[in-house]
Amino acid sequence: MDMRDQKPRARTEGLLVEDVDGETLVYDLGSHEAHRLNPAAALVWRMSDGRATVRELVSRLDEAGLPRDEAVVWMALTRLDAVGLLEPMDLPGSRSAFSRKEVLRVLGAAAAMTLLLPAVDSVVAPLAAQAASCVTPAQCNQQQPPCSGLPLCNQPTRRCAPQGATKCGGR
Amino acid sequence: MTILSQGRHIGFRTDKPGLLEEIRARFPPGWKPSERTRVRRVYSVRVAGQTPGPGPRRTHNLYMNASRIERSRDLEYLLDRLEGDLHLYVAERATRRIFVHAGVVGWRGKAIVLPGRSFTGKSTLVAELLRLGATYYSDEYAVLDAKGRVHPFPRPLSMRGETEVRPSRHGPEAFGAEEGRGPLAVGVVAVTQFRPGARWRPRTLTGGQGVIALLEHTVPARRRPKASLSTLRQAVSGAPVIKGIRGEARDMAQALLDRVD
Repeated sequence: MDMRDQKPRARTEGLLVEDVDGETLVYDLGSHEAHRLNPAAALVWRMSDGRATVRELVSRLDEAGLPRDEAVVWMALTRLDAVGLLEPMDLPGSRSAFSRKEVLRVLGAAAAMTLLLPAVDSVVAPLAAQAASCVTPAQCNQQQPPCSGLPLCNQPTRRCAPQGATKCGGR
Repeated sequence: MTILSQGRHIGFRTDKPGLLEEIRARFPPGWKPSERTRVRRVYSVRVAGQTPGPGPRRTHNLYMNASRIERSRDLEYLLDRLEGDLHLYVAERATRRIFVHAGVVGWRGKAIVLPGRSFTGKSTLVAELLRLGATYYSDEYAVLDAKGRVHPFPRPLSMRGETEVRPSRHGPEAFGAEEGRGPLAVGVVAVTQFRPGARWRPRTLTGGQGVIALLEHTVPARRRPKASLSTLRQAVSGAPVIKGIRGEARDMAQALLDRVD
């Protein structure tokens, strides 16, 4: 089967979705990752309903002001797949094969087009203690008793506390 | 004694007469006395030498319910630890507000929000803004309501000297400023990190990027993701979110105030 005849399906279970100024925020309740989809990535994600083929997605790219080129759709799909927002499907190449630079080259487009190309940014939502005050292990090791008592940023269940009379460390 | 803070009833007890007054000074801003006799969380401070029993007792102990969460010969350290745990509990479990780890000041009826972890110079920047005439909201948490407005959480500013481990505490009057009173809409969010000698040349984030940037500092992000996202979206809906490396606080503070003007 031609890869372009595949029908991408967006993952919908276990996600919270919020729209912000034309962008889409997706929070994964399982992994606690939050993703920002820019308008182009959001368009492809929302059109991926399991009924439209990749060819059909290409034909609708102009809704985001993008040229109708399949490289743009594959670029979006590889990024959405990488963060787990698509049901499994075959992709023609890795994320690096559809880098911004490569897609701009294929499109013969100016660098200004970069901002319109599909983009997905992700962060892991912090544990409560990570979002609050914390010190890195190195910062803690530089302290001397009485030590700050703050959680370690990388191990929030441990605190920067006295270890003997002269040193501080995670405890 | 029992208090009510952000919708949570919390109990405190100690075996040393008079110590409750010191503990009281560490309660979250805005706390109220509570008559509740059954609470889900009780902090107990057992002070060395207060309780009779066999063997030398030179360490103080801090318990949260039945679990000992800290022991130390330094009572001040133990109380700092209590305060940190207490404030974090309130920040995570607040029933109606979303706590974002951030410094906040008010300026011309708008809030300037400075998200960031400890040791990123947040309090220094807040202090500089206060010296320039801003009102004090918090150096620890931006407390957001469902409309995205920021409420005061004016615990004393915690200032760390270059060689000090334990920060010193100062009221806003030490910087010639006053505490803010009512809620404020957000005027600007500035995501910064200190680097000596750097020049403040921020870029403006999109609304979505701004929400993601705040989410990284949102205490109940995992416990209440839906409310967190919705509240953060409201908070940035009318305000720019800017991001960049900053140098000295003084240089950046004036630029921030100008931005809100």
